[in-house]
Amino acid sequence: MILIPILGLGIGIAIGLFLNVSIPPQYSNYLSVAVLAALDSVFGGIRAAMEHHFDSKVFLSGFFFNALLAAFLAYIGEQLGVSLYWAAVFAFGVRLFQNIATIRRLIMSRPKKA
Amino acid sequence: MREAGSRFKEGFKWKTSLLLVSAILGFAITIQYAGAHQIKPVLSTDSLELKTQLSAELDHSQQLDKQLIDLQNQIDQYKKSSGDAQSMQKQIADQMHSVLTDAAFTTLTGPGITIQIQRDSALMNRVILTGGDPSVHDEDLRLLQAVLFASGAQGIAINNYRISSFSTIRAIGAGPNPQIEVNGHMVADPYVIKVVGDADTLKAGLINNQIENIFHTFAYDVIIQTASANQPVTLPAYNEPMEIRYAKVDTQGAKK
Repeated sequence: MILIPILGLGIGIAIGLFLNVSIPPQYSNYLSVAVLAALDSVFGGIRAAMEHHFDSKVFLSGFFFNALLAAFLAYIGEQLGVSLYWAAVFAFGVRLFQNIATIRRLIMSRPKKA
Repeated sequence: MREAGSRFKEGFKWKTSLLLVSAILGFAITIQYAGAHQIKPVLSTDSLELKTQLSAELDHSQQLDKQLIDLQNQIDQYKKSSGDAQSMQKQIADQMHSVLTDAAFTTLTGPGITIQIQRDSALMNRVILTGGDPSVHDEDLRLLQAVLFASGAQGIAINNYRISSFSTIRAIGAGPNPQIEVNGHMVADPYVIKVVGDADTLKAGLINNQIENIFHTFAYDVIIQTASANQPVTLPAYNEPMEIRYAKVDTQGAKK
């Protein structure tokens, strides 16, 4: 189970290193919240899979929608002069810790194999 | 059997989507990491700019030192020739001539180039088809003049009107084909620009600043001729009024 995200991360990092893509510094804020949204989605997905109610449609739509919304929020905040992207950072941050805590509890409460 | 197949399908689906999202996450993290580490080059660019500024200031300081030495030499020469009135008069006259030449108040003859800017009918169709503006404006001639002075021109004359610090190059009238005035005189195509200076440096300056290409976009051809040693370029003196006038508020009109 935990190997799938690690494998995916490895593939993504390898592609990133191979393509050697870089973004202008002014867009790094948008990408950072998008990364946070992706991280939240991955941990949410792991949790859902462990709780046996994983839905691919919900997972994928949530990932793309949250990432885009977070980046959009950061953009709007920049245009208005208000750091709105902290709202996304806070929301995703809190959810991330909640998901990690739940995953930890689920792993710990698993019955040990004899 | 069917249930097992459906379970396998479902398992495959969630594993694939989790793998895909994780891969995107990994890719985004790599880009973000690479972007964050680009901060260093930005900082080095700043230091490069500072170094360039420092170098420019040092050059300026050296120039001022040289100027100081020149002025000191001048004072020494005056002191030496103070007993000989004739020699002093000659020195002052030489300096006067040098200043007048620099200020474009005397004719100037020397090596240089002649630039002829004339309408190229072959380029005209292309410019019209691409929706370009087929006319030379005052700013184009001003750009050319700036490029030439920056390339070491000692003197410039546009259609035999000498350019000095009092000169004006301006457009009269609005629209796509404004009339261009140099020193208050109308000038028209072909524009003949005579330049005194080092021909190679001047030509290099024109090439580096893509002057030929700029005028091609207005359907004008740029023909550059280097003056031969037998026939150097001669520029007329600037002999226009030197009174600088400014617009004034019409107080009488306001009273009426």
